[in-house]
Amino acid sequence: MTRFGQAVVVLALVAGRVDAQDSRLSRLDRRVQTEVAALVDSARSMGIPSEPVVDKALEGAAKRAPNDRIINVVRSRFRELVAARGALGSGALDAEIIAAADALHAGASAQVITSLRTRRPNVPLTIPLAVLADLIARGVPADTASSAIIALALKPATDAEFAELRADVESDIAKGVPPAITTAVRTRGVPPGARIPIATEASTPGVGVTSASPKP
Amino acid sequence: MHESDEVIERVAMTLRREAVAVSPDFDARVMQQVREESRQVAAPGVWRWMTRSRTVRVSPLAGLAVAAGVAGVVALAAREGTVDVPAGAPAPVAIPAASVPNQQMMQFVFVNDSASKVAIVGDFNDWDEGVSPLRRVSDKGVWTITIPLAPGRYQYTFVVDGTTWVPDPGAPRTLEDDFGRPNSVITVGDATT
Repeated sequence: MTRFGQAVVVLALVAGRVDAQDSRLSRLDRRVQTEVAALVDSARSMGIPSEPVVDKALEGAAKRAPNDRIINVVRSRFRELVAARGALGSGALDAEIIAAADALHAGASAQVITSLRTRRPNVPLTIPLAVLADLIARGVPADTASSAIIALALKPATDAEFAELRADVESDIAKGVPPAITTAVRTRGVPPGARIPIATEASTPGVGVTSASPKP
Repeated sequence: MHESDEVIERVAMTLRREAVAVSPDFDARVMQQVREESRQVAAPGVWRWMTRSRTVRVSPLAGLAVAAGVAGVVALAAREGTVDVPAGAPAPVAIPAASVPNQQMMQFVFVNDSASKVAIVGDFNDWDEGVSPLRRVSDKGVWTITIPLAPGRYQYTFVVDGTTWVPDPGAPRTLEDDFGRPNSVITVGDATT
């Protein structure tokens, strides 16, 4: 092949590569773009969802975070997705892997995720893992939250019951009940909506009316 | 007065007011149309006989026999229609009714009576402020949007007037603060579990 022919082939390959790249990445700085594209390729080859990596980068760009910060965060996100995939095992749904990565990020251990998978091998774990991450985010100690989720999984609880636990715990916390106490008590079978007696109950905080809810 | 009578009356009034020039071949076209319709009305007697409803009396035993016969024909047709797929051939793919299966419509509500525009950004819209603007639904500053979401856990936040990022006060927040501004979290469950 002539030198000109080789050049044409190389150009065509480069053009194809650029064209195949996610157009959303154009919102990122060139250096971040290259890093994210490499992570996306790795994620695809490993069979883990790449969308959370792109999402995190786009979030960083939207919030005008420095490039180094965005790169660090997306690398961290990628590592959590890999660990989540490892903890869940093969055949995990993308939504499960993302929720497990969120739980790991919040402070749950990989062993807890594997334990959940063992106890519910054929049932999606998206909601239990999401509730686990949310409970930890609300201030429930990781061990307490993990025990609560595993206890419900052993019951076995439905997704609605996991969501109910989260709603009750959030409601109790808003009333001043310590996060660890409400989680432990609610998991032991306090009826949904029941009030947990506590000596010092804070007044209802002033909260906006903002909400997200399923629309029938 | 019947609706068609009103139409006719309006046409008649118009015709009374102004002279209407009729095309020379108008009569011919009308009569052609009339002849065609009369041919359709005088359709073959066989069709009329077949389409006329009748009462048929059948004994229970005969009804069962007919039902069994129909079931047998259907089963035979299904068996004849089976095709052996060669090893290695691509498996048939079920096409979902919606572009993304199992989505749920999630309504987000935000209250701010001084905002001139509110948008929601998150994992579900590429954090693009222009994709999901909220609609103001009352003069008391209630803004809302409904977004279809597949099962999963999503981070999001509201953007007020394009400058102020406000997490949803009614939703859990993320523990981490990757980029200096906290997010809210929404989890969408699978309706089947």
